[in-house]
Amino acid sequence: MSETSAAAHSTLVELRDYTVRYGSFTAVDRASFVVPEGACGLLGQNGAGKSSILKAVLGLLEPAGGSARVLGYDAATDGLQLRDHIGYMPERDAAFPGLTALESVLRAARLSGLPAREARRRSHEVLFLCGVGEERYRKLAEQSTGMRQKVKLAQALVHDPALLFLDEPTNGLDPGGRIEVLALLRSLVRDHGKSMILSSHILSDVESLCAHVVLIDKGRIVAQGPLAEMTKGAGRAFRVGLAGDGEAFARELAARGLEGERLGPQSWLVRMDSDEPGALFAVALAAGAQIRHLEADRRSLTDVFLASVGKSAREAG
Amino acid sequence: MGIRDLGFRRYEGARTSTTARVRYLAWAEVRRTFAAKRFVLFYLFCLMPLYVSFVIMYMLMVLGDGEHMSMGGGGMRRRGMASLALDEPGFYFWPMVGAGFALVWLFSAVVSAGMVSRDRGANALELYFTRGLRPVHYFAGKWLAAFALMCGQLVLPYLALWIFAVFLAPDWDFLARTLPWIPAYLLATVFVALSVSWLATCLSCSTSSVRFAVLRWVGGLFGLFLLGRVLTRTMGQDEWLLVSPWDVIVRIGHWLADVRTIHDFTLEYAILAWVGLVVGAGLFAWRRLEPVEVVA
Repeated sequence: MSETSAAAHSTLVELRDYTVRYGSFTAVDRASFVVPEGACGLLGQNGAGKSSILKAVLGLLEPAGGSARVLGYDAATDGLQLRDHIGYMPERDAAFPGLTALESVLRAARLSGLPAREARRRSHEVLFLCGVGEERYRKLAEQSTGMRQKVKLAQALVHDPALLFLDEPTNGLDPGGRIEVLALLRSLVRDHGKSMILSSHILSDVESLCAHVVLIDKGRIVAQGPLAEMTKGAGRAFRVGLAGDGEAFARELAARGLEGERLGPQSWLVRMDSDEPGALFAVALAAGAQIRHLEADRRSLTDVFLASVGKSAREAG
Repeated sequence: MGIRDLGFRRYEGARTSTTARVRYLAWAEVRRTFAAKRFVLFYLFCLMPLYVSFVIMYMLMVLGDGEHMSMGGGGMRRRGMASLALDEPGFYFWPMVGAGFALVWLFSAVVSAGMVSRDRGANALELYFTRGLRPVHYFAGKWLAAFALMCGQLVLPYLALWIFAVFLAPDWDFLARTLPWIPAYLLATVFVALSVSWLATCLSCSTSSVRFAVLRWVGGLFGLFLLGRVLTRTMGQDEWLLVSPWDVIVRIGHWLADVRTIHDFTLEYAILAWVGLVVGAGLFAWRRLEPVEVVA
């Protein structure tokens, strides 16, 4: 497949009945999902099979069944070409031994097919972009976990891949470093048109970055879709903040057949039949109260995750 | 505009070929190895037989009368040191596979046996195999690096010694006498470097610890070297030396260089044993470099 047609593909990743086994243990069980352009979160508990999917698609593991198309390439047959267009940041501590940060990124660039001069130039640039520019001449072994994490990100980025596979990218980063890295990733998606699959169990990272989410539990895909859709409240519900008589507001809701759940002294969750919350103002008016706050109810990603993976996730969480 | 102001740039240019990446990997490994001062000192130490050869050569050519270019009598010849004659290939071959064999083992252990194990220990194989390289490309790069480094001990210094001898010789007759066997001699030294680097690099795939890899390589070579000699004495047949990879390589090397050999076992058996060793080691490395081994 030509590079142009691969790049033009709007579905970045498409897995069908993808199965990965380690001996008799099934790590990924007939997973099927589609990842569109942009940032996609691959969520699951430790050992759910997230990393196994990424590694199998990259050719590190041989799938026991199913197919995977990534950027228009067949992962099973076009792995070599495919990997030139993917930037992979592994979860575990992985480094080219004995090298400085600059040499490591340079080696990653050269092995991804960049010519010498361009590889060297980009290595300097990307290290500065990732916030390790000043440390680039220090051996990786002498650097902190956070710095090494940023160097891994620089290695994943240096050859300008169309798609990034980031396996727990904020592991080991201090709060400041985490914010920096998330901001960088957001900018790569928004300003540079990069797409990424973010494998993480830190839900807030995924929520702040991804427009699409795939949830995996014990090797099975349990939910997938746009984040906005998944976090939409069950039914049509609104969160209401009141000033005035709350009891009267509750009575008025009941009188009109609306279901209201008190969340606090002056806040309510009201379920309605319609997307239009205008009727709530009439209720408040009749109760002699004022609506000070009104928003559509959304579930957090944590709610979605817990609901999807079930009781075992709740216990683990 | 400074580097830090550039942000992220797109790369629209062409990508290099897989062969170029393998070459880069080999060259990068050689550079990394020689970047350590301690390694340079170790390398110079491992060239000890070369210095001795140079002194002998200097004594014969400069301090001697320039006519007599050999030393040592029949006793030396019988013990395989046949060629302390400057115009015979043995003079340039014997220091490395004869007198300096332990240094060859040590050097190959340091440069080759750690090639893959060092990467395994640092989880670097996961980085290599998720780039545009297959395990076979990675191994080729590493082996090429090990081979180049071995050539730095086995081929180039002794070639340089011969070139030096040509210029020290009283006339061009020395060149005329020695030039005909130089291609065969080079072939033999390259063969030894290739074989040793191949076996050591294959063995390097067996572990994540450089120390273990070095111990396995030197211990294996030494153990089988001793075993071959014990069996030969016990059974009274030189064929038992075939259990020793080093003796097999040296036997073929002697034959290629057309040097009198101390080994009395059949060349055909040695070649068969060598093929078995090379294929077996290759298959072993292939199994140990399967990506699933790397990430499991």
